[in-house]
Amino acid sequence: MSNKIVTGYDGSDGGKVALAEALRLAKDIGGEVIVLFAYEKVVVGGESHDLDEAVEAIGARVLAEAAASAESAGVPLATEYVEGPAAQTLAAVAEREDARYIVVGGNGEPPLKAWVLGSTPSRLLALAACPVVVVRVQ
Amino acid sequence: MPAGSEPGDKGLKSNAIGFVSGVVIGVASTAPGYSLAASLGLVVAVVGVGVHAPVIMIAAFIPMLLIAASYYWMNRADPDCGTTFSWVTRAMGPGWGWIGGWAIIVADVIVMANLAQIAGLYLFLLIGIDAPSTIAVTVVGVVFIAAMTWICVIGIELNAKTQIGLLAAELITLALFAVVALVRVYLGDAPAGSVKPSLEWFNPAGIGSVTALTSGVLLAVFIYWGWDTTVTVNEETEDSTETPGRAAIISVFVLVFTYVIVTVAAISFGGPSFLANDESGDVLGLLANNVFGSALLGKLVIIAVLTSAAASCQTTILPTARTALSMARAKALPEKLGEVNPQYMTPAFATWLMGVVSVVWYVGLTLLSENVLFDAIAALGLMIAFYYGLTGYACAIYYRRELFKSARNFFFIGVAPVVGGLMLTAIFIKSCIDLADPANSASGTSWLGLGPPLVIGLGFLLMGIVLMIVWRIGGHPEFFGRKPEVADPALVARSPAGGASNV
Repeated sequence: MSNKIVTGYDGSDGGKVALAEALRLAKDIGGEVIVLFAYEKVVVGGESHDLDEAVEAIGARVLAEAAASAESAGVPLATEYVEGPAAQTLAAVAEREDARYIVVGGNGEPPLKAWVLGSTPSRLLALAACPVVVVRVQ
Repeated sequence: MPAGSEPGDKGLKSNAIGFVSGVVIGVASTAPGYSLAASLGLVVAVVGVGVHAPVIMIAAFIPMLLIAASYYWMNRADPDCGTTFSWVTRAMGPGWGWIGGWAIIVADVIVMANLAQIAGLYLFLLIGIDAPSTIAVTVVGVVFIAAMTWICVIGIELNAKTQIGLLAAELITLALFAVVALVRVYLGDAPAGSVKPSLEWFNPAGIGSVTALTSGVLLAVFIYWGWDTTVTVNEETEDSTETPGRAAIISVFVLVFTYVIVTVAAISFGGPSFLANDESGDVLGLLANNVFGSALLGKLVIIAVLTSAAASCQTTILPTARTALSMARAKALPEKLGEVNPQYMTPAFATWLMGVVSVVWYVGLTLLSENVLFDAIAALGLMIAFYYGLTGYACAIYYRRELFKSARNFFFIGVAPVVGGLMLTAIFIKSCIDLADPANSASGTSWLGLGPPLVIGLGFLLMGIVLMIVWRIGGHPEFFGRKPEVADPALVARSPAGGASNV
């Protein structure tokens, strides 16, 4: 098992608390953090090229944000832009990296969407091969 | 619902679509249940069509198939999922591209009103109210638009499995409806007015006039609208040289077959005059109750139409909001429309705006006259004919230097799209001439001495031209300064359509 901690970050409050906790945890165990920005592309046709580009720009921006906070915390950090649903990509990257923990925000998602589709943390419980740390926004 | 949570699925490439999903997306995007509910009565009602509606269903598919070739080839040029706006701008320059994008947006607004109306009517049918008041239907319709818009804004999408399930239920229900209706007709168990199907219904020569043919086809192009989606998702399919072609072909056969069978069954069971004289707009739902003779089974058809309408909303609002976003990012529309909500990762502002405009349009039109909503289908046909036709020409123009390099290029990239474009242009022009006479519209109302569909259709196009000019006067050289491009020869050489490599 590696000392890597995988977390998802989208710039939301839930993402922020998760990232902060991931950085703290990494410091404690002397590990590194892998931050994911996951985006599920729209499958149905249409002008999706520009939307994808716009989302990529958002991804690049928030990942840079995450990298900056890692730097000030003095924790090694890698960022990754991945395509796919949040829970599945987090679990997949954690498995690939043989990660120690996955850290996610407990209530970062739009509440109604989470209510309809299920939240990332609850899905992760079924998917993750490693312990999942859920941090609630206070 | 942890979709794709199988152990082997890492989720990283979960958007690759297989053959079955390709077919499902093609058929579901077309929304057969809703399309039939919205247009069946109207097609039969066209003077001179009547029992020949099945021929119209087949005839309308021909230009769509030809235009699909242009979708296929333009998608090769713009593999990141562009559509009419990007393609026409590339091939024919910003002016045409702008109008093409505008036509898509307008078509969306018009169809939303119709979807809302159908959803309202069928929801009342579902709870057993056959003739709800206009106000009640409108209120439900507005709520429906708001709910669908919200779903698109927060980015809830049906996953492939849910879609397959819904579509299967829809098709099985329609098939059941057709079989039961036909069996009852043949057993002599159908109500008065029913007629046994005859081969004559498939005789194109039986259609009264060219006007009847074009008016019928104008209404019926709408039922195939959306099917092109199958062709434009090809870059994401598992085997991108083979799958999209086959998925598109199979899905179109599923559609043609469904439409013809249900049309034949509905006409023979209800009788052409019942369909033609129905003014309620929910002819399929009313028929379903009679066909099954049990309210419970009849409700299945109603539910199928409702889920189909909801699915259609998704395949309408999402791509259109993205078209608006694309236009905004290309500086062809105000920047605000190009914003992506960082929380939902959707073009939230463009989507909401589309929803609000649809509600205003829907309520406004209903206030004018309820029948005008039926005329909106013909207006929608004009929009679809316009921008599909444009896409057909764009394909041949974009690939003009490749056309004469081989017979395959000539026919598939040149002739097919152009013939499709010409057919749609002919339908567009002939319909404009016919619709100048208010008597040829479904409502029979006169607006400015013209038929409402013509006023709606041309009115929106003219409004588009005015807005484009205003936008152009405001500057925006990044967009209006763009020059038409030509296709890279490698696009054609790279991979053969449908695997035919040596034609």
